[in-house]
Amino acid sequence: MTEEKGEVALFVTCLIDNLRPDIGFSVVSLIEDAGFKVIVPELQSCCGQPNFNGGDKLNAQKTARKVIDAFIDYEYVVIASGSCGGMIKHHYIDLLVDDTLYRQKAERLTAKVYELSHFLCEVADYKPVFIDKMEVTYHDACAGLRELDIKNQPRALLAQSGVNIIEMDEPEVCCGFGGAFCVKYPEISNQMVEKKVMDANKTDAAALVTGDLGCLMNMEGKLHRLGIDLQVFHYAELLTRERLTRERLT
Amino acid sequence: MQVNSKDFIPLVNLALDNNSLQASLGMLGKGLSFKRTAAVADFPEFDQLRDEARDIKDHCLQYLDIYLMKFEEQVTNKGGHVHWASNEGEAREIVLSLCQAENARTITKSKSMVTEEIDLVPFLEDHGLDAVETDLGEYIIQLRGERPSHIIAPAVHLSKSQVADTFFDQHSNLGFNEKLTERVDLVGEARQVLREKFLGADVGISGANFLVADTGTIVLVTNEGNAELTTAIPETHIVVTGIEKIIPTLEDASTFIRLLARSAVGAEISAYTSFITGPRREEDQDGPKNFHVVLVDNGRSEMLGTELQDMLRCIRCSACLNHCPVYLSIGGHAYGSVYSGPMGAVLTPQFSRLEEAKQLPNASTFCGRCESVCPVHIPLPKLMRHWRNKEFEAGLNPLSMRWGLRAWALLNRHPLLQHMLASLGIRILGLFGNKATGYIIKLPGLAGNWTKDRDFRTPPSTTFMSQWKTMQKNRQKKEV
Amino acid sequence: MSRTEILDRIRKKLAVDSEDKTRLQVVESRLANHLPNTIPSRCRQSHSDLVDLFQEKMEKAHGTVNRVNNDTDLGGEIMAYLGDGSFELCINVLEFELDFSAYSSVQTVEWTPRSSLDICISDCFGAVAETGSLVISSSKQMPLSFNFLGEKHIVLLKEDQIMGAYEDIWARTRNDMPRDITLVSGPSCTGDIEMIMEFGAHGPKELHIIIIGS
Ligand code: SF4
Repeated sequence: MTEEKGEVALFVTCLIDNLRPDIGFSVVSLIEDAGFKVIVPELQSCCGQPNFNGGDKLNAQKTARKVIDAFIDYEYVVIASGSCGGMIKHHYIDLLVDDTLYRQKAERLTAKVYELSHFLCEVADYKPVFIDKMEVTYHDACAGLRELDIKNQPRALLAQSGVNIIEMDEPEVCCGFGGAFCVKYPEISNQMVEKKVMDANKTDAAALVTGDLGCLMNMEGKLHRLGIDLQVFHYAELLTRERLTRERLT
Repeated sequence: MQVNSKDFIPLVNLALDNNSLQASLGMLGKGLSFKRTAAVADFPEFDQLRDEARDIKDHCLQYLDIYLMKFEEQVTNKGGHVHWASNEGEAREIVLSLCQAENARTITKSKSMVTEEIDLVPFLEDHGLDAVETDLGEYIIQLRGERPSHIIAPAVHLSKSQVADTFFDQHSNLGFNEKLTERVDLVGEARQVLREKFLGADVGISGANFLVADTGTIVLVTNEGNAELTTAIPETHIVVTGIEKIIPTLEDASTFIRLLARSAVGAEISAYTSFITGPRREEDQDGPKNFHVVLVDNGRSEMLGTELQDMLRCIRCSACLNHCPVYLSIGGHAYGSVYSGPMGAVLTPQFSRLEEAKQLPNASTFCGRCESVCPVHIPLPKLMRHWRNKEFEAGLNPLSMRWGLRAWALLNRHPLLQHMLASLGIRILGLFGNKATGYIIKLPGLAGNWTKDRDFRTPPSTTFMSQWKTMQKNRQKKEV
Repeated sequence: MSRTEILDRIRKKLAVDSEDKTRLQVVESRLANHLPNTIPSRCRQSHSDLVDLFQEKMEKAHGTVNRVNNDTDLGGEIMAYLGDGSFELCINVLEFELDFSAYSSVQTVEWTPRSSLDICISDCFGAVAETGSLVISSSKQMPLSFNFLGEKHIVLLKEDQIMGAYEDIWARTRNDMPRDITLVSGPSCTGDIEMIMEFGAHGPKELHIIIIGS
């Protein structure tokens, strides 16, 4: 193996950690494949978004300080979620605007925080090798798209690995997850996710791909309930699809 | 402002079950976002103009007192009158007394959200005045006794056949006895009915899209031409508008005109844009003798100097509604307020009370599509979050949620404990799963709202963090 | 009084002083300079391109446009547009002579605001190419409602009346604004029933422009 290009601290995210650890390992192997050493700081927690969006600003600030302390000393921080990534990169500075010390720290931290595909494309200059041909459709998760400009990066990476993307109608419209929204307003959320998976299914793609676990579980759960046989993947899983077991892909 | 946002949940359920509403919303969303995208693509200066528009509004808000006085001075110089209303009650009284002073009986009105906000028309009707809405959409809902469901397309919730039924019911006393089926005939019938109203009105009431301080000009934008007939024919014209509508110059107005229709409906400009300056000149053949402007505050000035100040940039274009997946699922009436969609979720708590309207800023996924299309860059999700903060501070949200958030935050400060508890939690979660399918179909508590309409994939029995730890240990062992 | 109450509240919330003269100066100089913001590049091209742009945009907005080289037979042009049939014409044109003597089916009527008017014919203040908008303005000769009450509105426009941008209107009117200036971009329309466009909501159902070359 060639010499390591640097160290990446992985912000795992609660959802990947608890519900889909396999995606976490896909992420690790991608970063390693791109030539970086992966470190997983033990003292990491949630990014604080539930409190931030739930109106509990004080506790959101406390969590933010904790996260800042846990990650500030690393060279790069990579997150395989636009939502948590957006929280840290986009909202921390605003959230801590009255706390001079931590606002400065937040500024230092945010400069080295990257959503995974952004990191792979623009920092690591990672070129995935061709794996096999596949046709998928892609849902642009909202926070990644609008807070972090994630649009072409995952598409470009997937394309290099042999994936052809068939765009669905309105790929940029929210799937209805929205964190607590989906359990606070289940009826509205249901209507949104139903429309989303129907649009995805209309493409006849072999899989639906996205970059955020909340959206992924929402769409996957709806498809399963509707009995529609369309698998949902995080793009990191597809980029490491030779790792996936055969059953999951067929 | 009359608000029934407390009934949000039942209103949402009604809306979701209303097939004709759902069909209208489907057309609205697809049609307008497609058209807006095309209009923006065809106008290379669009983003630059948005930045400029934001800066113009910010500047005006910073000097609002002075601009309002300059505007007043200009209107007065040209022979008009400016009235100031601190709240909605004052605004209604001012308009009523102006109508009474002219012994007015009949009033034509062009579309204005401020008059909806202050419930002006019902008030005038209660005082024996015959006030008729002349914007076709507003006219239809006035006949039906409804409120607007969209800030620029007030009758968008109705189908053609509902409109036909309404006209058949309400126009028979005017000699129209045929049940119409074609849209063109419906528009034609309303044209005939309202023509008579225009020609006979004593007073015309309009809103204003912009107030130009430099010249005392009000700017009105319509597609139908009703604003021009409302303001040119009666002896008295009363403009009812918010204090935040002020902009400095006609040059600035030009910038906003370039943004408004493109953002609203994807058109380059509306059919009619009128710049009205004062009452009729001595030599003029038409136009009102009396020209009044009622400047309404009603909670606006309270927003200055706070996070909500950004909301005062709003030009009521409706782009945020047209692109909001929540609005497009439930329509305007579910909000229980004349201001709906993202802008309504920010304004309604301010113009009524937070207790009353607290659901509205919560009913958002914060997908950010509204902010991305807003022509004046209003950070709508941030402002909805502002209300959520206020709600939390005031202890207005459910106790279970407050304690849930606190407990979560506490765990965030003790990550090792959190990881331990999480490992335990996912094992318990696993017990709900169906081994054969790998999915959970029913969860308890609040999570049951998830499994109402979706399944939940059963998580594996160990977390990433614990697997990673084991791996690191094994690696170290190997290295030793 | 509400006026003072509102102004005081604004100043308090903005944390500014009513005696602060520099604020007044900022506003006054901004008004005195009335600088333009970004003007779209499409507004600044050769005049003949602007005439083409006006036509293109007006047609896009569902107006119809006819271009003629001179004003010798405007009556004939108008009749060509109207086609066969008999018509009541209400005419308010200062700049041109209109001769309908060859058309026995035509009757001209005096202007009064009324509920049904067949054809209104007028000239106008000018036009703006950027969005294909006519500029009409109220004046001694021109009541605003004249432009709204006909079923069809025919407007005579000289090529050299076409300006590039909205800002070009203000350069000519700012110091003496008429009561009304209206930009007319296409016939009256409404999308209020099921979002499908119908023409002739309250104003003209058809808008026809004859551009006269110089
Ligand atoms: S908030 Fe922005 S997008 Fe919404 S109506 Fe106002 S100006 Fe338009």
